[in-house]
Amino acid sequence: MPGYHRAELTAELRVVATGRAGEPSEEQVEAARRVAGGTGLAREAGPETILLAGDRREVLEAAMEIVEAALDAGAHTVEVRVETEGEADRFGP
Amino acid sequence: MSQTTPTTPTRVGPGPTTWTPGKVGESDRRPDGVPKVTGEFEYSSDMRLDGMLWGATLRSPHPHAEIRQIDTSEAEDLPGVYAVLTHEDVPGRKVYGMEIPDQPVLAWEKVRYQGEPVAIVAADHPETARRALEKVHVEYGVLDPITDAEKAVQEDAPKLHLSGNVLRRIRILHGEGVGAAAKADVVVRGEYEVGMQDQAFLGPESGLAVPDGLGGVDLYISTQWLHIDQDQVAESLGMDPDQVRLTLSGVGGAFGGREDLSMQIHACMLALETERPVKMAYNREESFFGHVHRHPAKLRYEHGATRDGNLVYVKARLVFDGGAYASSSNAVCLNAATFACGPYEVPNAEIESHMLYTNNPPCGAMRGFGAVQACFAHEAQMDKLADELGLDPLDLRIKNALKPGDRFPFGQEVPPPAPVREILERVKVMPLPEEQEVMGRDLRGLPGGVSNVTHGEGVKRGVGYAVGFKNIGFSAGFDDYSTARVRLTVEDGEPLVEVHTAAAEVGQGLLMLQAQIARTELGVEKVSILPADTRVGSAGSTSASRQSYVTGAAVKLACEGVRERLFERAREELGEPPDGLSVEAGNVVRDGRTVVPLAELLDGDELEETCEYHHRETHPLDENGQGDVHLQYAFAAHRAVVEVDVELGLVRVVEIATAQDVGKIINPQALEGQIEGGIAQGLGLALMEEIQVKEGKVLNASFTDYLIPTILDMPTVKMEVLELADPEAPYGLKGVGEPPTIASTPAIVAALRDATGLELTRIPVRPEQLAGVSDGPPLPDEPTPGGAGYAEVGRLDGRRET
Amino acid sequence: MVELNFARVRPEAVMDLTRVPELREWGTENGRLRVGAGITYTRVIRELGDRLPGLAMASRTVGSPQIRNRGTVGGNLGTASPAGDALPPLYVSDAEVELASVEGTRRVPVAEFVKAPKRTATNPEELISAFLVPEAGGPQQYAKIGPRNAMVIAVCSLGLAVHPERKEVCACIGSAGPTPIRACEAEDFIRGVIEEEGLWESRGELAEAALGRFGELVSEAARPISDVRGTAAYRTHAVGVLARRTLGWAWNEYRGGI
Repeated sequence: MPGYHRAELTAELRVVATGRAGEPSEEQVEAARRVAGGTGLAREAGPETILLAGDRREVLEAAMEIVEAALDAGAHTVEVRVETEGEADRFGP
Repeated sequence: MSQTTPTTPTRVGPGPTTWTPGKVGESDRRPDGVPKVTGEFEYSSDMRLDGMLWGATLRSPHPHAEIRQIDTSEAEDLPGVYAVLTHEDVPGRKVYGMEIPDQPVLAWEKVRYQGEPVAIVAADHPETARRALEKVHVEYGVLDPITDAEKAVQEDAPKLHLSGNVLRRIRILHGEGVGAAAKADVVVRGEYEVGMQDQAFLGPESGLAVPDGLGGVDLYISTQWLHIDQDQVAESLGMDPDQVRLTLSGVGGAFGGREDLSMQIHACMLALETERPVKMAYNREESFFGHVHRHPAKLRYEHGATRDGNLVYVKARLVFDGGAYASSSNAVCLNAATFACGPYEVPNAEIESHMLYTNNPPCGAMRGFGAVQACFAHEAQMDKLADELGLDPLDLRIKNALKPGDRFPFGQEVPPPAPVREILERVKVMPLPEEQEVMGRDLRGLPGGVSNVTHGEGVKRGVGYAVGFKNIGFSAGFDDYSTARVRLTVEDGEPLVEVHTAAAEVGQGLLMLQAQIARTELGVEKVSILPADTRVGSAGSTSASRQSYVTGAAVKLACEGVRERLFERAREELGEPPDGLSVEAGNVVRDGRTVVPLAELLDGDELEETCEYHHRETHPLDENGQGDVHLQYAFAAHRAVVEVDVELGLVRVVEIATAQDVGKIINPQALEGQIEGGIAQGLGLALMEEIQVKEGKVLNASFTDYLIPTILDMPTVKMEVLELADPEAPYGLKGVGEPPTIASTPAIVAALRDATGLELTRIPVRPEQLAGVSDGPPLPDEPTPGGAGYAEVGRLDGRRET
Repeated sequence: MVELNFARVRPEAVMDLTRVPELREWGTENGRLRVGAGITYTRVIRELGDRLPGLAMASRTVGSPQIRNRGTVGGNLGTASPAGDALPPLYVSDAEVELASVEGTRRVPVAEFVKAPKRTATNPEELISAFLVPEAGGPQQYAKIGPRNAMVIAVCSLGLAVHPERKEVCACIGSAGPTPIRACEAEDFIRGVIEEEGLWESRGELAEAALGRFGELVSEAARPISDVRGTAAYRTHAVGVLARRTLGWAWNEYRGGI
């Protein structure tokens, strides 16, 4: 089995509920998901959680796009968690 | 890496295996051979611990559905049930994956394939656990499944994943590509199809998770790569890798089917929740749903050549159905693209390899990894071309055979040794088996065997050839390495070598190889191979035919380190100059004369070395599919002789002859085993092995109807082995596991074409096709009376009241 | 046992019949063989091979040695799968199935015993105790199609028996219909041919054309479905080929030939 290439960076994004704004609306979540789909890097990683996986530059750019889309749709809080793959130096180039 | 010692008192699974192995190059009796035959070997499914609970998995009966609600209350109330868990109970990351973490540990709002896990239970009896599954009520909103890879990429196709249904596309442009078509005098085209093969390993998915009382867990498991399992399990449990310790238990075969996680996270979750050891073992039906399969593929090829048989260009379009989740599909897509043209000098090429998501069963690694599908197509094409040109099929191949210094279509220079021509010539001169008189033959020597379908009527013989190749090791820039810890001590006055790696022995004989290397490099007769676990660094995956090379090199390196320190000690204590010293039969020697016995030199001390061996760098492909992408190449040619009852379409393979390029034979008997085993799987794909899927549902999840070759289907195998050393590899060796399974399939199909005159563009070839009765595989409209009939996975429906 | 293994069935209680000696005995009764339902395929091959050659041939094709050591003809009857290997040979010898209960015993012709796939004429309180079948009066054959050379469930099969004592040739198709099917038209046709040409007495050759027509008529009698194991078209075609060949072999044996 050749190159598998665990992604250099992953980002998990979620439009979350807050005391002030309550539950995120359908449009906000949809906006995030739609833009995420367009980046080509996204998968679902949990209820309402989007996962991006890929090279550092492309993941960070895609994450920004998704956050902006959610904010534009009226989201109040977007949780973003960026992780270098724990064993990236074990597995990646 | 720090390790906490588990407090649970247990020695579960195999302990160290100690024996006197042969040296590199000698046949050795497997230390686990007799126990395996007598039934005493402890496989992962045999493990038990007092107080353990049994885990079971609830799986989706639908290939595509929304989950509207999961109600576990009734199951939780069942006496004897200790835990019922869903996605809400996954402490860490809720998805996992070999390359891309896109596969839910437990599904939350959608299921994407029949058999996808939705809930897990732990109970005090396996039957109670199964009954508890029945009491978990899941409300599904059934959706139409996407079952055709080509349809998956159409505009209006529903997106199975956020980023759509295209997992990967690779394009290789070489020379002028199709632009060179004008230079070709002859063009042949073909469309080929490969069905979904299964690894069909005999040991089911199984393991035991034991909580350590400190919040961590020990997992005893059958797998191919301990450390990548550890990583994924730790991520999903939300723990440090230190808290999740894995030990390899007895593995009953793998063939790629154990690279992905099956029950690892599930068992650990249940163990941590119940604070009891939890065992999970799939039955055969569940096993078919519990692991990935070989990618089915549709391949469209165009070959152009000059009148005298020189290849001018190849155009290939490969479409793979990856199923619901990514697994290692990315890498299969790349691999297939790089092997698309075959081991031939091809001056121009345009190759496209597409990997798509569907709601079919997820596909991933299986012995051959993309090269199998490509080889079936390119070898069929070469025969077609030979026919069109009026050339002998072997001569055409020899004429175009790759050699060191040529360039692959992806730009890499062919490294030596690359004896494509030599193996073809070897196979060419092997004498054919004598044609036996059909009338009056023992039934077992006829197609159909004792089923008594022919006494010679309709039997025609055919002969076919094929050649293929495979990369050894991981590629495309992956930092592939292995770790070995070697310790030299004295036990009962005798020197003993302990070798500790995390390398997974799955039946291929890695145990012997490590011991043989230690014996050879340290001259010590008694070798102990410690159980593989995560207390030592990663050994990488038991896949890509890479362990002999990479773990072999790590063990060799560590032994050399110990040896250097021995010689240093001899210099310090005895004034012996280190040059010219060697080790032999438990002594340090010079010019055959004993300088000092090891036991004496060590004098109660231990010498230990831990080494990491990284192989040479490889590089990813650029946007034109160019790059020095693979580490090593191994080649194998096959000739198949078959007899076909042309009226009934039944086959008997008479003989398979092969010539394979192995670099260096480490263990002759183990090598024979790998070659014969690979040929058996190649024969299976040619004639009988296919997971039949209709509307996303598996029709034959049992060995009753997923047929693998028996001893009466296997022919005589004649093998010739070329030992041409690879200068970069330890002992000059090449990996041997996959090459036998690649060209054996097309050789058999070529022989079937020779016997019947039929085109045969799809594998496995069915009796219907050979008898000329109907095209394509049979697909029923409903489950059939008299068939084994399959219940919903994970449920026992259709139970009769007795 | 197959049902238990696939978890199709979870009975409250399971009774071990291997301890009932009568089920494992065989003898003769009024000129017929009475064979206990618990006699394994291995024993049929070894002990009854010369008296019931067709059944022995069929037994030889079942599973593997391990399975043949445990599996029984009684079990095959009880399961009543259309793919049951023991069934066609029993059909072509007009066997009877003996059912026992506390009320007594009764005997049912095998063709009436098997009613539908997996359904038999057994009443809930009854046990299959034995089957009765005459010894072979002439050559018998059994042939079975499977996609590999051992351990297959029949894609389709054919049992054939030549009965010189009553001047009949019987043929039964297996696994190409909801139950085994006697190919009555084919049987009538070939009986007619043999009689017309006086072949019972002369033991002369059966013409290729007659064998071919026999095969066609057997094909026409099949009522197969398409499933994971094979298409209906293939089954129809294959039983015809098997019929032609097995009749050829059986008739050659009757002639004293190979």
